[in-house]
Amino acid sequence: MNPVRAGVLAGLTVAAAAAVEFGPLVLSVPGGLLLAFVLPGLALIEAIFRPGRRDLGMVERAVLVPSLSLTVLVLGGLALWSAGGHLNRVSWMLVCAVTTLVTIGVAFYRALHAPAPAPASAATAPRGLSQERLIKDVLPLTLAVLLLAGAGVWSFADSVDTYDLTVSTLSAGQPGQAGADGNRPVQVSASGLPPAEGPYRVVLSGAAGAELGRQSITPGADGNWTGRLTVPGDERVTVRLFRGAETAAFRTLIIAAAP
Amino acid sequence: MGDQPTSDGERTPEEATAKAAEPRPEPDEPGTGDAPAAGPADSGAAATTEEPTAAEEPAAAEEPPAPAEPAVSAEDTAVIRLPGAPAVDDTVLITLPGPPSIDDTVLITLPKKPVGEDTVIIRLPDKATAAKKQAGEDTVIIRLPGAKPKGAKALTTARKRAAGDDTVIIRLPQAPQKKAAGRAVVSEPPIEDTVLLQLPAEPKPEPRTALDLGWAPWVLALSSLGVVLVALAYAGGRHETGWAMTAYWAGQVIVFSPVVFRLLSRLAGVAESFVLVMGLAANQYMLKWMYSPDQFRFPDELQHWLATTLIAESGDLFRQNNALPPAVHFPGLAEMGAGLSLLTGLPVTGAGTIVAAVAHLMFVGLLFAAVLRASNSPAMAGVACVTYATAMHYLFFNSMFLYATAALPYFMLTVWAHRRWRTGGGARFLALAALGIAMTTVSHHVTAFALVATLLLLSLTELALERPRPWETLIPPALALAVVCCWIGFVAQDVVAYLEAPLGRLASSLDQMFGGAAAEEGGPTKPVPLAQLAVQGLGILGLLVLYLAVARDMILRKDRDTWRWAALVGGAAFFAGNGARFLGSGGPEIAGRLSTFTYVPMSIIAAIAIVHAVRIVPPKDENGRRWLSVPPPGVAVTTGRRLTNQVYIGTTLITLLMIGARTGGWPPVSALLPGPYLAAAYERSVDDFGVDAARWQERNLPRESRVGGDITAVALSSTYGRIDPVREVGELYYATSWTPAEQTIVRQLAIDYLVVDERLGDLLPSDNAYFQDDPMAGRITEPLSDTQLGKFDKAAAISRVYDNGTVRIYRMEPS
Repeated sequence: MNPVRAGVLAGLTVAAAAAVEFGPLVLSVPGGLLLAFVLPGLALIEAIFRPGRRDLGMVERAVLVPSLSLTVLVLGGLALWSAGGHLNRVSWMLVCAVTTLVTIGVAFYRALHAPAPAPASAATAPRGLSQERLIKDVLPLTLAVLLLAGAGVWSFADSVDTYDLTVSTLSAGQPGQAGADGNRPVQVSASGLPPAEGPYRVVLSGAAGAELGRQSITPGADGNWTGRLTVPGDERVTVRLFRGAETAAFRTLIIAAAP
Repeated sequence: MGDQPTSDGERTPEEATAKAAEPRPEPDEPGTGDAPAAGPADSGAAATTEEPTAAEEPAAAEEPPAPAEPAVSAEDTAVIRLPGAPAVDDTVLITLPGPPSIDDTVLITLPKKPVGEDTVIIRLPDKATAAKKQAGEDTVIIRLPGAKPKGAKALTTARKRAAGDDTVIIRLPQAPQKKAAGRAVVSEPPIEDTVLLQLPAEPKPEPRTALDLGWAPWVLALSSLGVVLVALAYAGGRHETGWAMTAYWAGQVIVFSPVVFRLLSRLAGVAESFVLVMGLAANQYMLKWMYSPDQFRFPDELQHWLATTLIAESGDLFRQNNALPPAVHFPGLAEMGAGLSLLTGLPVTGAGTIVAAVAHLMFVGLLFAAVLRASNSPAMAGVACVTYATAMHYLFFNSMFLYATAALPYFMLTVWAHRRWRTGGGARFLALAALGIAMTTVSHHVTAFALVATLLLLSLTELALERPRPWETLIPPALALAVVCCWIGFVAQDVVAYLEAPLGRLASSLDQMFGGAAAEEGGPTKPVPLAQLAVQGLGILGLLVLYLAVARDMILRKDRDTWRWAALVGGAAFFAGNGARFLGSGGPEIAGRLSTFTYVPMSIIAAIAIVHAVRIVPPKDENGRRWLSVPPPGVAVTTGRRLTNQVYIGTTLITLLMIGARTGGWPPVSALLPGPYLAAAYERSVDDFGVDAARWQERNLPRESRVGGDITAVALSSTYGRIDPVREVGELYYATSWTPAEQTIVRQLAIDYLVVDERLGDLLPSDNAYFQDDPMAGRITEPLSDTQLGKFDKAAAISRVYDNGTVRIYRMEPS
């Protein structure tokens, strides 16, 4: 690894670590992706394989970079936790960044003490972006990426539009202990109630169907409401939520009698 | 499978194929590795490879070179490049080692040096043999490099070639001054068995660069159109349109088949093949992701979402995960997801999607790298990868956010590193194999077991075939066995109990099948549609034919390549694993899971058969024997119409396999498209009603609460709800009234809550059962009745504590 390459890699590692630790999402995402999938693997390859020898082909190098990077993430995390460490953003960032910097140092040291590499093979990529390459490679690949991106974004939006529903719920917590009057308090909550579809009311009825009470409720702007109801402790009580002028209950709860 | 020529540290496979036209030394030189070994996997490309030196490739040099066989090229076309400089002697002498094949195939061994000027001399080996040739068998086609365009000539036949094409056609029956097609002139043979060709002067062909992507970008652009079509189909499924299924199948074929077609044409170099394979893998991952792009819906993915979330929230490993207890002790995937989520700030779902995608691509890339190293043929590596893409579980299970997805690339990394180590790569590759073993072991139990078995198979075949026996080959399997045993013995003891149940069912099924034990009581399973069976059956049959052809070829050649034999044994395991389909209700799942591993060698065998056109029906030899006739030495160089046929037939077969995998794999045919809620249909059963109920549990119930429900409810409650799931609750739902018997079950199972989805009263289950261990599995003829679902409202000791209009949660009160 020559000094320029080592310097660039080390600088990138420090920048990625800083972005992860201090940057907003727009910086921490690329920084985190580099630390998780790229930089440790790149440095490890440089350190493991002897400078000047091309033991790895292009394909192998391409697949080893993320493989070794994730190995650092997983085995490094395992080692850190085994040593009593806590796995959080800082510790994982340090595991990846320190490993990368140390292996860059090892690769640099080996390069200093290794014989000069053989000249590169005659099979080299053409320099620059020729018009032929633009048409033959860049244009179709750009088209492919745009198609995939378009399909992905549209699929995501369609799925969210299709499945994202506002769910209206009525729920009850565990009833409290019965008081001296034999009644128990119970916390009842409702959510997902569009104010426009109101007014809403809660009706309590006993086991025989007799109405025990009713209460109008006004959900907040977020569609939620919560309140404490008092129900007889020795009777099975049904709590019905009605919406607007509807005569059938919108949601129903049943509170069993105290044992 | 031939040997890679590049571990000498001087040339990589990319460079070897990039310098495709260099004349090469005689194949019987020492140090040629196993590349020229007899057998179909030595891809026929004498002119394109460079062998490692004996000094730098000790392991390869130990392998005896096969006599009188050509070395092989990355492509199935013998390429001869004339020396470029005019002053240099630019004649190539080609000696035919034996009689030409009866078809349009000729084996060519290049001599050490070119002689003469602008001339190719072909010496016919045996006049008597040559005289036996029939009409139509007297043509040799030599394809020269520097085609323009490079990809256009694969499918042209000899008759279609026009001037300007860079193919020379030589007619063997010697006639004085016979003019052959194109630009070559056949002159009187200077000696009795020699044909002299004078090649016209032409510009030096443009050398292929290591990064030549060929037609890959355009092929991938076309493939991406298929992705768009499938995206349309998914949207159509969500909105229940009639054309969606047609668009789905058209899209699947467009995504897949152009890549297969291009790879089978054998004109793609390493870079092009690799880009094609990775592009296909990326496109197919898109197909998986677009099914449910906004959230994980498959229960197993939700289980690993929880495991990842627990690590990200707590910073601790091995936290209890009620949804999938054994996954706790295999934290590889969860660490990847949690680490990425913490490093990037992305939510766990987003980080998990990226991790699964990268792991999927890594696996495909490593499979490509391993086969490329073993065969030195990008065509073979590419075809093996696209054939593997037709595995039952490839598209969904092996791409999901599951712990097996994280382990599979390291399984393949270990196999690749083992190969590099055994072919003289040095101790660093053994160290990489050790890393792969460690990562596989901490990621997934079954993959770790499969890795031990695979390494053992590779070692045993090497021990059986190599002399002197290389005992050091046992180091990787021994190390893998030790690491796996230590991990299970000291960390993941619970996996033994976890695997006992499926193994017990398997043993029970085997006992029923072979031991005459009585079958377990169970209802009939839903019949598989005949068309689906036919497609799958044809695919398996096609693979079996290819497998038998390769096996025959290897046996009759007395092949001694250890990796080919290992692949052959692994291929046999694939067919045996398919037999597991018939072992009871869990058979198909076991067969599918086995195929994840056994399909790797099967894909390699299929690639050998397809790329090298191994004769399925061999010609009769001079003794009139057909099936016992020894195949001609070396590898067939296929051209012309035969190559055309191979490309079309191969593309059709692999596409058929892909369709069979989509119909028999996951999701089931009834849920191939996303859409409205289906009962007990895994991904298709997860919607906001169920998720909201689970979220309510997470906010309001103690973590130790035990909650029962149907398959979907339990999956959501145990993951989003983070409670302790109770799965065997079917009897409570099938009862028509709440009696002391049901109360007893509740006490025995310590159930605190039951989740009831009223849609179970409207829809039949998609997979024969509403519940896990459903007592009515396979016998359900109508949805649950109002009485069955309504009895909970009438029981005195039950409270309904949550209602969202579709899903209700009942609390079991102490009585």
